Amino acid sequence: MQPEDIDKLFRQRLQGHAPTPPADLWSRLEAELQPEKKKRPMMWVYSMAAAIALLLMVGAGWLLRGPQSPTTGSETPLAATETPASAPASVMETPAPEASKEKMIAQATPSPAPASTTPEARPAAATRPQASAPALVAAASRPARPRSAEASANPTTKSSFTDVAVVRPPDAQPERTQAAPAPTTPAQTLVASATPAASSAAPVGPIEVEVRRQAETPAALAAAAPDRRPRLGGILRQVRNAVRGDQVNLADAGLPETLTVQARVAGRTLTKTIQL
Amino acid sequence: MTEVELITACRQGSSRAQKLLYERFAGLMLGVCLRYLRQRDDAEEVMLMGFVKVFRALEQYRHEGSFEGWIRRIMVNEALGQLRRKEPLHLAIDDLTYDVPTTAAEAESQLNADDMLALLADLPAGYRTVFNLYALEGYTHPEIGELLGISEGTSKSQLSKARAMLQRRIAAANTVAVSSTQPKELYATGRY
Repeated sequence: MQPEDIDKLFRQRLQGHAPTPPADLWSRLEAELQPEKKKRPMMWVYSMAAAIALLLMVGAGWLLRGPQSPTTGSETPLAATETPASAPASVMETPAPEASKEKMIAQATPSPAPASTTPEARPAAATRPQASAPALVAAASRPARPRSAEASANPTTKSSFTDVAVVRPPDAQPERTQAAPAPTTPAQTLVASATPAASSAAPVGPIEVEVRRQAETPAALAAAAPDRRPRLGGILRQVRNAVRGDQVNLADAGLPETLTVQARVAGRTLTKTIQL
Repeated sequence: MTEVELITACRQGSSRAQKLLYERFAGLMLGVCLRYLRQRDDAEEVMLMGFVKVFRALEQYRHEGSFEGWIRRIMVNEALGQLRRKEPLHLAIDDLTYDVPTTAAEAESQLNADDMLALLADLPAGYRTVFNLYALEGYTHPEIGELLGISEGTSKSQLSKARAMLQRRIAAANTVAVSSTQPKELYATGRY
């Protein structure tokens, strides 16, 4: 027998050999093929569910965090004061020559005086590094005013502070205290809307200096925001600000501290943002 | 239903067509898998996984060559993969050479397919694989070398050894059938 013969022998005997496969093999194969069919629709369902959940979360955050009382929002003691002496001449063209830029920053920092009147405001004020000598000077330079009213109107002190100092020329009403009840974001619009009304009283036109300072001190956070919700709310609010075209405040979302100085002089707007 | 219709229906995901296609080729393919794998369970598993691949790769079938040949190639590849996992290919060269006894033609004719499969199953995995690929699938030595990662020369020597061993066993089976005197089965010494 030649070597090739054995090849031929096996080929002949085995070529058409078709043993009967076990009956359950088809059902096993079918089960094996099934996941392939179902995989894609399932992925669709999962991704849809995830998208809907995300939309719901954002929507709920918007609704809950949007127009709300100041206690829940992580905003802004808003001290609107008209101090003729504290208008820094370098930043805006006002007839207030003796004021310096340093003073303006100090003015921007909420002075300890109103903070001490409200117990909630105290820890945040204590953690603020700038609430030091210049601030005290600024506070001292101001005449005694019923400032406690402002502070009590703003009971919240959270991780970010927006201090708006509306500076008016001296010939305006000598002492006028604006106590804005600081809602979350509408605060800015409220102040802005308040300005034109004041401009009628002031012949030169109102000069609004808005200094927004975002402090991210662990102590302040711990004192003001024991849970994570304000933080999440802050992020959502910043997203909404970005959508509206407003200033996006990163510190609210837990990002490094920035200082934004915005001055509006009659039609012009000067904005300076300082990353601390 | 013709083969082309069947393939088209399977591509469209028809479960009925898939079952028809399976039934048409399952027996033959199980036969192929049994030649490569010693254990029937392994062969069935390989056939199953082979069919899964067939259905998933059906889009890529270009109607070149026979459809059966295409499926068979998938099965053979699957079987080789399983062999590597289950029975590492012992391709060690068996240096022992034996006188190949001439076998009576009658003895050969008595062997049925199951006997042949049993003979193959007794071969070392390397011999069996090369013999299968060359003698039954029709691969060339260069192709086998590439498939198994061995040299062409190794493939040739494995084939001749496999042939010699098979001949010897067929002769042995014949001898058993004729008389009780049994030549010593050297392969049983564990030396392969």
